[in-house]
Amino acid sequence: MRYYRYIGTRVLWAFVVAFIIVTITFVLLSMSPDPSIQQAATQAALEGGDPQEATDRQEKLRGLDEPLHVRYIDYMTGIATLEWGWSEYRNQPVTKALWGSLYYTAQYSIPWTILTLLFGPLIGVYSAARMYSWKDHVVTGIAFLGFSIPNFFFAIVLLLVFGVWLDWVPVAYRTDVPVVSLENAIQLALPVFVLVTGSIGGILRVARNESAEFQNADFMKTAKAKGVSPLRAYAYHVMRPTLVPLSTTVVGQLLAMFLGASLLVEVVFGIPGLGRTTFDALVAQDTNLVLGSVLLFTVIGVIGNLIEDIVFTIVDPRISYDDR
Amino acid sequence: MTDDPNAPLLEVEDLSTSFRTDSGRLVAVDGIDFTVEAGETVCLVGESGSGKTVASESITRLPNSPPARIDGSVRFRGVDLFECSDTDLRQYRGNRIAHIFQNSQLNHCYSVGWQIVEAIRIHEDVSKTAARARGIDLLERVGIPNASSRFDDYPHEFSGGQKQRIMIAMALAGNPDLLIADEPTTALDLTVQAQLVRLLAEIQSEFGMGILLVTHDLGVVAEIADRVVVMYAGKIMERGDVFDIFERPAHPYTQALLDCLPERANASGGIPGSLPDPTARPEGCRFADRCPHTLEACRTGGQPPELEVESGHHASCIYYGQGYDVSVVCDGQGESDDCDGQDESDNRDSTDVSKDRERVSEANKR
Ligand code: SF4
Repeated sequence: MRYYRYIGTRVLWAFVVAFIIVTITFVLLSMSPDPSIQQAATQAALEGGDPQEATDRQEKLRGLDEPLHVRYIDYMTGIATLEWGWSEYRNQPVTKALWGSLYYTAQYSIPWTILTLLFGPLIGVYSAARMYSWKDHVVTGIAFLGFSIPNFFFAIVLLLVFGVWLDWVPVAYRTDVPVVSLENAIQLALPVFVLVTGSIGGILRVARNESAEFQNADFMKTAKAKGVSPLRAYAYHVMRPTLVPLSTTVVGQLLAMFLGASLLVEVVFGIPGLGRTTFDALVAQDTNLVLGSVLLFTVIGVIGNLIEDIVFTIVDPRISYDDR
Repeated sequence: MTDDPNAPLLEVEDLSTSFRTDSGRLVAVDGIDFTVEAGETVCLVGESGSGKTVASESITRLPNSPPARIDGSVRFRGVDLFECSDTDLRQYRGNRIAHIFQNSQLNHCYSVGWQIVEAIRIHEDVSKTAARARGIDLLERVGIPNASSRFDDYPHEFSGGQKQRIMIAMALAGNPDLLIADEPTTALDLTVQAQLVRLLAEIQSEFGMGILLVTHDLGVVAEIADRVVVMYAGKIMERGDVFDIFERPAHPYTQALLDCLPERANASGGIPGSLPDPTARPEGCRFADRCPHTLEACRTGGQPPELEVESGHHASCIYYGQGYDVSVVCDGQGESDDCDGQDESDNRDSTDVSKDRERVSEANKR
């Protein structure tokens, strides 16, 4: 019961956080000049009209003459009802533009996340079990390399080797292939690989260090004395407690990659995903689309943190729901 | 793998365990022998650092090797466990031979029920529901109230004494023939200690298993032991029947240990001096630096052999050999200024064991 109340509070908090962020963007937005008004004024001045009158007309047209609170309520309802405005640059509704990019981002993000979550802890625990052997050194070395090479640079190198020289993968991303097809898998292999090597290092390191502690824990002696095989002991008795500290770092790591590195990777591989769209919208000064992207990233971040909280409570039975 | 039901339950022969450390090879157990028969309780006694815990864990080869190196032979019902493969050995661990450790070492991430069910299902092909029902029975047997509703609780939701009961329940899961309990009551308060000791005794009479109890607490020994093996610095100093040991301790080390019992003196400090460096054992008797009767001859050769004091009672001290005056160590119990600030002069009399037993059983009633 306490558990559900805890989850309930967490969900509520997620909404509050999202609300606050959205409000902050509104405040920032209402303080910055609207390019369309300036445009209208310049236009009027050039055509010999009255710039002030043109400004007023434009403001009225965009509802900017309303009092602040009315605009705020309008803005909030717009966001809640998914009416995020019109993208000048894409010439389509913002939601539609974002949905379209999300479609491509998801195609590499989902396999990337799954692979990272699967192999990060596994390799980390394996490495800890073979601590200081050559296998451990190889694994930590590769992880360190993946962690420290800039992703976009690594992506370019891989694209050069496998795309240009070996010609195994297409250099240009094709949007016309079906999602579930060999062609799509091949063209996504490199971006997924680059992102996995980038994100797995941190997770692997946490998993390795934490499980190194647990593999010598007292309860491992109990497990051994019970007749538990080493494999089972690692799979259950070491893995589970390792997931507790891991659950607090994984989401942060993945989100940071998602916001930063995925943009660069999208640019290098030419994937028309979220990062790319946001970048183009910024360059084109398409305010509505930029705003929409910010909102979408906010939602993803808030949901990610919510998942992290919930996973944490599931993997660590010792946390108390009362004082959080 | 086939064992002989007529062979002794446990025969430990020339068991040595050493660890590779940065400062050289640390010899924790240095060639010891002892046996445990079905239904009997043997107490392995010694200060911390005497090697008793390592010795008890080496029986089922629990110390990871490397860094540990375990030599000698351990025969369980005639089967040499050290000749077994790891897979075969696992058939014994937790099944025929169960361990209980100090401070109940449960995994904090799993419910106690899960951990008991694991112990059952590793050795027996039973359904989860059947294992669960058995687990609840076991928890009830060891005295956990509301066992069925508490089955899915996590270790941190139980008290220290209850956790140790859960460990006992888990140890019983495989119906073991031998229970190895390492300081099972240490770090618990006196009442709980006494309850646990009583529980162990009850379980033993119910299941008829042999118990090897490792402890430094002579009160517990007096309560439960049939035979006592005294260890010091990796070697056995003395062994014998519990009454012999308490009434006529033969080895100066055992005498010093008994003198430090809180009932016998206002002793607080224990035996003065400290154990010899386990990475570089001295020549001669290991207790020489702390022994009040040390002679020149004590410091040469190896540890003296275990010499007969009386039938079934042996001590590793040169005074029990030919040509020495035994009365120096035997009657010399007035010289018990081993313990700091103590002036106990009366000889130990035969009521001492009964006194100790009374003390513990009184604690039981509390
Ligand atoms: S052999 Fe010597 S040093 Fe060792 S216990 Fe006997 S008297 Fe003391």
